[in-house]
Amino acid sequence: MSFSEKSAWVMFLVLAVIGGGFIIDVVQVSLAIGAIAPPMMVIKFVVSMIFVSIVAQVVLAITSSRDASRPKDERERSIALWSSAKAGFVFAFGVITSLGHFLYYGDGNLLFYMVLASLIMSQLLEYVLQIIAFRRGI
Amino acid sequence: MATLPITNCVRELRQQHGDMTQADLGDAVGVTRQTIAAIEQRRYSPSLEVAFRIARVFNQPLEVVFQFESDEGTAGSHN
Repeated sequence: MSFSEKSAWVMFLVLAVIGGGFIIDVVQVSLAIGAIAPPMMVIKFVVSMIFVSIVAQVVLAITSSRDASRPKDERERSIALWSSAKAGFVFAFGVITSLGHFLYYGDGNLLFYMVLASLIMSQLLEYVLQIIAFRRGI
Repeated sequence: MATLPITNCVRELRQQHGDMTQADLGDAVGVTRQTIAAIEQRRYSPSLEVAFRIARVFNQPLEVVFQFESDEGTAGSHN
């Protein structure tokens, strides 16, 4: 397994666990207060993502030191571009849907969470597509 | 996923060159071992530059190492 594929697996798991936990938190708080949770809850999510991602990437780089120092080759760059383009469509769809929802309901907090959820989903899709492409080709 | 139309004999050439490993060939042409494996399994078609580099490692013309397989399943040129 190449370093890029390992990195995609690690980031997928980190985002799935932390992002999933964040979404569960937001839903629980929203149900408890009877309204959409305040957007400030995102700070804990962002700090957690940054910290855990750095730790995970450092551990990965230490355990694969030879591959980690090598730049991506042409196949890895091609896979990164391909998966990023697909994920971009999902993000754009999510943002446009969120904006449409905001125009109708005018709920800024919900707009915030819908855009953030679109970002999380598109990133997860990008990692999944990378893993598939590394395994099966594009 | 269907295999790509560019066939190659990279694996055979590696074996003929003292059982060169995929990692050794990858290092020689500037790609990962996994990319060499993907090329051999027809899951990835290399760029012209990498194709020429691979052919040069084996001291062979490009068309000996890589062939294009047309829709009819035959290898060859358009002429």
